[in-house]
Amino acid sequence: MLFEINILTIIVMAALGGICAYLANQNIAVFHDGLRPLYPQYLDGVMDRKTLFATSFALSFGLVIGFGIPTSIAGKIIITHTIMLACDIIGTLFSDDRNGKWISTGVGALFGVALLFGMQVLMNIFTILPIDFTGDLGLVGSLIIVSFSVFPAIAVAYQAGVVKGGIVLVLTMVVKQLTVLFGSFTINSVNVQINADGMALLFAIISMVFVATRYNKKSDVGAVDAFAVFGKNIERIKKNMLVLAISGGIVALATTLLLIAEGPASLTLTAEGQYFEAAMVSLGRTLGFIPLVMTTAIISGVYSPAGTKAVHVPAILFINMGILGMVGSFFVGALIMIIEVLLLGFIAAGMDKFPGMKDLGDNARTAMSKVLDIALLVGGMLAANAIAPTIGYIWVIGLFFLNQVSKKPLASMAIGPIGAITMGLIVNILHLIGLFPIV
Amino acid sequence: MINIVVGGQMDKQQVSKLIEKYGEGKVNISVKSDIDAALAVKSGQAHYYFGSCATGAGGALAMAIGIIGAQQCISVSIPGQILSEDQIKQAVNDGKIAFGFVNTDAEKVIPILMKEILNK
Repeated sequence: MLFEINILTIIVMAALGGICAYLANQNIAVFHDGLRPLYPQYLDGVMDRKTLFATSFALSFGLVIGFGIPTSIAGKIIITHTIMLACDIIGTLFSDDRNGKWISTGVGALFGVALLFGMQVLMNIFTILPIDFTGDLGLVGSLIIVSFSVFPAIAVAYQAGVVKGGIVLVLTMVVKQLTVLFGSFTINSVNVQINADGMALLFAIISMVFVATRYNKKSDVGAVDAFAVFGKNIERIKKNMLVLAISGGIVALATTLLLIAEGPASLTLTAEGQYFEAAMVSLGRTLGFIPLVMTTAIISGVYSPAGTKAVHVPAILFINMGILGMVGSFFVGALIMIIEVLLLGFIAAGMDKFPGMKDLGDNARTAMSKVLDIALLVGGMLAANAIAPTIGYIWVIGLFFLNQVSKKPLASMAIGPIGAITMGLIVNILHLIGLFPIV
Repeated sequence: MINIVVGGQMDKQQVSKLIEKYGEGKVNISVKSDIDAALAVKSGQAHYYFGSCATGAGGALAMAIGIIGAQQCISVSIPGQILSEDQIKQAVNDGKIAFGFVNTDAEKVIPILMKEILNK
């Protein structure tokens, strides 16, 4: 894994697990967007704690095992879903009384530390196998780096049609190609190299926002009136602003320490040391998640331990800046969380002022998940092929379609990482029985 | 005619095409934002709400749960779990009117949902 295990990272992981479990236990914040809307029923007494826990477990367990852990192993940074969804489960498992509050916080903290050591132990086991495939796992994310700037063009196509999407696509390619050709120059004998993928992505995201602000489809029903009844929910979140700010700070600090990453794309870029680009991707994801996180928060009175994910953007830029970077990351993260909470009321009141921005969020998330699906699948195929050139492609392509037919399909995004990791394990088994000689 | 709204949040066009395909010409479909779609069901303009997202529960169903009420909503697929045909039939007959599912499961659950809705 890319993180170091030392007293600081152990404390931060314990704090992260502890606060996420605490927030879920005290019905203040949960990470799963689908769990949040169920809280009003629980708080009104219609749903009991056991059902809330069962739902939380059903929603999140498959994602932790099937998506979080394999993606973290393949990328060498823990994807935040792994810890935060698990802490949703831990928090809802215990009753929200005085004892349950501290027990769940303790269990969450222990889980955070166990995850830190567990991931490293797993990685160490992989590297002492006869055939060490951990180096090849990096290929799983290799396509994301060069292709992620395509997502805004697809989002524009969803929102404004294939022609406008096509124009953004072509311009994105032009920007990247021109930056590659002319983006390297010397000023006063200092060689400056502009990152082409970062520029292409920045251009594409700006185009996407530009199109969205011009594209105002009027909503026909009064969303504002519908949201007016949720005023007390916003008050409830505001009451917990301090603890949410601390949570935002810890999430940011953990990101800066390379312990967690917010999504598969920024994870890969961060692992490659391309922090500016990772921050761009993270910003794009935040734009996509603002409507979803904020609307679910407003209808439920429950927020997210990572907010709209905006805390990750500066946190990535603070990587490798020493102690000042860590302190800065914590405080900027906490501040962003406070601003988000204060903005909730404004968002609820302005819901139909910017319908284009709401659409933008939905379309951006759809486009990103489509691009990630295909990039991680092909990346997984490349990695499996590097591990086992004879059978790698067969295995991952087969796995992809078997998963589609399955009655219990895993998230399609996880098939690439899972395919590559299992391919590595399979070649080791084949090696042990003499069917995969090391050449 | 049965009025169906497609709300949250991913692959809305594909979901609406699948509803059309399995609707035997007996459905009116409109694609809306999740909030507008949920409000349309709440106000009686639409009979059913369909929504998909990566988890089948978050973007797909969140606004429906908040606005229509959780008792009438169900996730028929989440990552790692698709409800069986019998369970979906049961859900429709129990009066569930808002359905969330994982976008990649749309082709599996929509034919069953439409069959049960048209039979009801």
